[in-house]
This record gives sequence, structure tokens and C-alpha cells, in this order.
Amino acid sequence: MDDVLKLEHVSKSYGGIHALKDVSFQLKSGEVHSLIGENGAGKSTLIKIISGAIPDYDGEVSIGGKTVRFKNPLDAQNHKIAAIYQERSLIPSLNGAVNILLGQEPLRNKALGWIYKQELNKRARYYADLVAPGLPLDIPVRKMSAAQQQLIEIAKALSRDPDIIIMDEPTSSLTDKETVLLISIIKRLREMGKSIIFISHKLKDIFEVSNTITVLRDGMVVENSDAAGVTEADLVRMMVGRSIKNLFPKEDVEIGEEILRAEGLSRKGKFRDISYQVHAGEILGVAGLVGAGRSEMAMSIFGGDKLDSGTVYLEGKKITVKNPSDAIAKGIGLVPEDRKYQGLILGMPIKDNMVLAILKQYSKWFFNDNRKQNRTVDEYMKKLDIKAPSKQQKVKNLSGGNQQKVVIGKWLSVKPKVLIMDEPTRGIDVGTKAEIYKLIGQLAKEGMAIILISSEMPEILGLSDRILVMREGRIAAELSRKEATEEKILKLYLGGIRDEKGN
Amino acid sequence: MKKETEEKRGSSSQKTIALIVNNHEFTIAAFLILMIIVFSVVTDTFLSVKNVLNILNLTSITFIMAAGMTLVMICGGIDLSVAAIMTLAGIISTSLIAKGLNLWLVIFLTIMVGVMAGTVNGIMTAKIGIVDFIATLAMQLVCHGITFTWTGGYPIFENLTGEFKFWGQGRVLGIPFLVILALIVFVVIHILLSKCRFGSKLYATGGNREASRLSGINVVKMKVMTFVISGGLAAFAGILMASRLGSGQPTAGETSLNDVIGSTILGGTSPNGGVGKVYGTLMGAIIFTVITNGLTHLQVNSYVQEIVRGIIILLALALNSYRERLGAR
Repeated sequence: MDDVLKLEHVSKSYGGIHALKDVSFQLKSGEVHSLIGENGAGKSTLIKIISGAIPDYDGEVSIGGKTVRFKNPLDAQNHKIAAIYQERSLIPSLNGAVNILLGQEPLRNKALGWIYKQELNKRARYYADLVAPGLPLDIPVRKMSAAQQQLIEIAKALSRDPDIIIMDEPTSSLTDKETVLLISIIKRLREMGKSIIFISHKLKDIFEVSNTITVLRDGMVVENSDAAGVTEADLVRMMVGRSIKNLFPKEDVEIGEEILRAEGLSRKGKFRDISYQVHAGEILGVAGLVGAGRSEMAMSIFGGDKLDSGTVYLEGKKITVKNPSDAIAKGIGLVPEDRKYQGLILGMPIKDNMVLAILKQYSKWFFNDNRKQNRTVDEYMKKLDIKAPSKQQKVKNLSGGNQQKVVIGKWLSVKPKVLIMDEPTRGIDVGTKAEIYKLIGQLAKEGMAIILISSEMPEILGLSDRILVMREGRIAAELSRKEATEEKILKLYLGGIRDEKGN
Repeated sequence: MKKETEEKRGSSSQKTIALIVNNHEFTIAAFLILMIIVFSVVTDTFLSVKNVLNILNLTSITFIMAAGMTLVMICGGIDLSVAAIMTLAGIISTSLIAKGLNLWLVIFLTIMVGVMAGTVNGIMTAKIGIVDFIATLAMQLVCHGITFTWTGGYPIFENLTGEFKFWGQGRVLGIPFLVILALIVFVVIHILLSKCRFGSKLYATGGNREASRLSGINVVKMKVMTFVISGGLAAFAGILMASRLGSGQPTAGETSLNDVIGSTILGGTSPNGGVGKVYGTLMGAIIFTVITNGLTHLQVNSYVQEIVRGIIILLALALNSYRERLGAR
């Protein structure tokens, strides 16, 4: 096989800090080449160079043997490189067909810019069918599920007839079942002769799909090997530079009094008749597909959305939570699903973010109590091992893992009785994941009741004392730690397949 | 070797540029000093005691409104009704004084009208969800309409008391009372932003509304509050303007909106929310007054002055976005 893309001795630094150091990388024709590494290892920088977003770097990039230097992303597109980033590039209000062919609409009349609508729909259909036959194209993208949007994004990339497709964390917001579909699509693209660079934190997906794996650490290539030649444990060790023996240090914790009990919670179109209870020191896992109503259920308990009916009891007493501030006062915390949109104020420093939920407790009169705030922030930065030059560092300059720790710190400072964590390890590196797992175990040991919502099966199985499986807004089953297995939970997910339309 | 030194030089000059551009207060303070020097050299009248006092007086009224606008913008909004509220407040206060009402009662009632207009703005935008632009534009129209219906377009200047005129024309220990009032507003808003819980919540709400809401901040209330304060300060400014002019002028606020928004943006407050300092706004207001005043002394046509002011707003915005992009990297 030939190298379609070759990087030789590529380096890039920002103000003296090397983001990439002497990196060489080959992409062969018709292969899936995975790029892995912890957050901050240099994957994004490498991708940005290949896709034309960073024009100034040292070293050489060549395509099909010819040296190139892309001035901008358009330049890279013209060289048949398509990048699908984590952040979606779709226009939510427009339908799937228009999004797929955005900027290359077929025209009836060039001078007038009169769009040939039938032709547009036909062509969009063609590309959509290459990805997933039957993918709906006539509804606005904002009404599609995360997985469908991802598929539209891929069809959009295919419409430019690329030779090289870069996929940055395409599975991070997908559930296991959707991931299976995406992986089969990636395999099909490979059969079509496309070369694919695949980035993911999910090692299982990587092994499923890759021919070759390159591991980056601290901006350098530490390993470049056939996928068949390495094991999962090897990769983890190479990524973090140490081996993680036990990812899930689940300790036996004595389970105490009931803290939170939900009875018959319903919200129209989101979830129905949800009942459960969680005790002090207990970790209640909530598994399910994206769209099963898990996050919505959590948001309603926290007062972020309204409940249509149902009752919540806290320590045996019936409560009504009017809004998040009410929830905080009563001792309920929520680490939300989307840390950038719901969890953090990116332009503000660590400190200001961490004290946001406790401003009332940490003030004298109308004034902020700075000393008390600083003490708490210092305490949690130390406890969570947040890596930053100071607490005045803006959150947007932190890595994903450290950002997530800031969100968790914010909620720990509230000292909640119940902490709901919605996808607490999404898109963060293995090392930080392990730290967060350890922390969750520790919190339970200290007597906190924890509701853990996760789409990552090992996480749910490894940490939970009990597991609720949700499907289409209802509880499909409740499993104890002993009886829960991956197969059982998957079967419960799949029980919903025949009711699903369009997929 | 040679390449390396070149690189170093490149990065160090880049750093200097970044430092200057990043420190917005430094940039505009330098700009202000430069302008004062230029105007002092090219005209004889600019640096006279009388003119400096005049500049300070004019700045005070613009600043009081701009302080309110700063809060609105930090919260991510914009208030296009301030100038119309100010004008209406001038008419209301002079009318009531002319009818013989007690001065303190007049001030209270007039500010209440501004507060009410602000409350309506806040409810329309934060609660009902109308875009700020449109809601406050409608409020501007309403206030403007009331002003002209009330006065028929004629100024109100009869039967104004000396007590009333003192607020805009009087001095305390040689310092114009207006300037003292503006300084009080400055100190209060500065403390509110930098030391109070209100400030922390405001920056957070403007920075990320959803994350703030989920952290227990009542973001609707925060936004309504900023409009209420903005409306109240605009009404207060209207009283001061009428007092200074010695009459309630239906056209008093004609150029105010531009000056207020311009001062706020020039001061480094981001129209995208989450960023801004009231001392920046103070400097912005001084710059705007100095430019207008200096150009007048140079006998530049007032329409040409508008062009200059417009260009300065654009430059300030461009600098703002450039800075945000630098920060993003």
C-alpha cells in the first residue's frame, strides 16, 4: 500500500511549549489509522495541521508524494481531505439535505443562484444512502438525535469526495448501539478505498476498527504499530506512561439510610413513571441509550426542568424542587452532561467557576467573602489534583480532564447529600478517568448518595451498586451489582429496537 | 542559528503587541492622553479651566447612563431605550417642578418612571424572550412618543426652581455637583461589580447563561435587574440634563445613545457579555466627550464629528474582537 499522507519531523510550539515535537506519521491508502493519547498529547494539533487549520509549523507534510503546505481548511479540502470535528458544523435550522450539500448546491441558473431543489435532494439522498440508507433528510437537523447528526456530518464530508477522512471522537456522544452502526460505516468507507484517521478515547472502538495505531504522548510519537500487535493494556500504559492496575477501585461500602426516593416521576415526551431510591454510600448507575430520558430525568430532579407529575422524597420527607438554587439549598448537586455548555463559564477563572454554586453561603451581607472562597477553592484544587498554574487561570485554557475536575469541585464545595453525575468522564483521558472513578468511590465511602448516568458500560458495571436500565423514557429493569453483565444490559437496550422508527 | 534569533525577535515583538492590545485600559488611557495633548496644542481654548469643567460636566451625564449600559452588556444584553428614557425623564421632572412639587418627590417619581420602563424591558426580554434589540427599540419609540405628545415638541423652561438647577449647575467646594454625583455612581457600580455577590453572578450570567442557571443563579432576575438599574440611571441622567440646561428639551437625548454605547464598548465591555469594567466605561465616556469637544473647538462640522465618532466605535469593536481571538488561542 502507498502512503497517501506523510508527515515528516513535524513540530509546532506555542510560546516555548511544544504541542508537537518531531512527529512523523504515515497514512496508507485504504486503512483506518487510529490516533490515541491523553488530552493534551497533541492529537488536536496534529489534526489541525493536516486539515489546514494551522498553517505555520516546522517539518514537512506530503500528499501522494508531493510536499504541500495548506494555508487554510479550504486549501486542505481542495486536496481531498475532509475533517469531521467533535464540534458539529451543521446548521441546526436547516434540513439534512441542505446541510449535506451546503456550499455546493446544484443550480438551475448560475447567474441567479437559483437552486435546483430536486437535484439537491437527489444528490443528498445518494450520499446519505452511502452512510446509512433511510437516514431522514427532510427534517431540520436540530430535531435529529446526536447519532443522526453525526451521520449527516459524515455524508456531508463524503459529498466532497475526499480521499482522506479525519474523524475526531466521532463516538464520544453516541451510545453503544449507535457506535456499532458508526463502526460498520467506517468499515464500509474503508472498503470504498478511503483512508481514515480515527481519534477516540474508547479503546474498544479503536481495536474494532483500526489497521494501524499511533500513540502520542506529550507531543511525541511513542508507538506506531499494527493494531494486531498490541493489547489494550499496552496502549493504556503507553498513553499514560505508567500502568493503571485497577481502573475501578470499587470498595465495599456499608450502605446506609435512604437519602433520595423518586416515585412515579413523569415529564411529557421525555420520561414516564420513574421510581427508585438511593441510599447513603450507594452508587446507583443509570444505563440506557442517548435519548432514553436519563439526563432529562436528572435535570428534573435538580429543578432545571419541570416535572409533570411524581414525588421526590429527601431523607424521607416529601420535597418540591422549584429551581436549581432550591436543589442546592436542599443538598442535591448535578454535574451536567455537557461541561462546556452547562457546566462551565469558559472565559472565567477556575476560582470564579468553583464558587458559583456557593456564592450565597460564602458572602457577608452583599459582599463576597474572598478569604473563605479562596480557602475552599485551594482545598478542592488540591483534593482533585487540578493541574493549573493558579486558580486565576481561565478555564478555557485547561485540558478537558481538568475542566471536568473544576465542575466536580464546584459541586463538591456545595457538600451535597445526593450528587447526580451525568456522563462524568465523557471525552477525557484514561488517567483522569481513573482519578475520577477513585473519587466517586471515595465520596460514596464518605456517605454521599451518588446517581451515576453513563453511556460507558465498563463504568456503569465497575462502579455501581445497583443499575437502572432506562429505555424510551421508562425503567426497563433494575439490576443488582451481582446480576448485571454487559450482555444483560445490552439485551435490555435492544428490547427497544422494534419500537424505533427510521433506523 | 540565524533562524532561531529571528524567531525570537518575532515572538518578542508579538508579545509586546499582545501585551498592549490585551491591556485595554492601558490602550485607551494612552489614547486619551494623546488626544488631550493634540487638542491642547492645536487649539488655545481646549485646555482652559472653563472648558475642562465643561468636559467633565458633559462626561458625567453620558457616564451615568453608560454605567447602566455596562451592567446590561456584561449580562449579555443591550438597551437601546436609555436616551429616550433620559429625554422623557427631563420632561417629566421639569413639568413636575413647574407644577410646584417638592424636589425630592420629583426626583423619586422621575427615577421610578425609568425603573418601570427598565422593568418592562427586562420582563419583555428575560421572561418573555423577545430579542433585546427589538424590545428596547420599541421602548425607545414609546418614550419618544410620550415625550412629543406631552410637549408638542416645545421645551419646558418656565417656573424651574434654583434648587432644581443646582443639581446640574451648582458646585460644591468648586467642584461641579454633577461630577460628584457621577463619581458616586462610579464608586457604587464599581463596588457592585468587583466586591459583591451581584457582580459575580452578573459576569457568570453573561459568560454562560445555562451554566449559571444550573449553578443556582436566577438568570432571569439578573437580567431584569440590569435593565432596571439602566432605566433608573437613565432617568436620573435625564433630571441632571434638564437641570444643567435649565429646561426640559424634547431633543436633549438626540446623540446620547451613540455616546453611551460608544463609551461602553470603547471601555472594553464586550457586547457578547461576560466581560467589562466600569472604570473602562468611565474612560470611554471621557474620550467621547473630549473628541466631540475638541473637534468643536477646531470648528469641525458636527456631521463630520459623527463620522469620527462612528469610526472610533468601529475601531474599538475591532480591537475587542482581535483581543478575544488572541485570548481564544
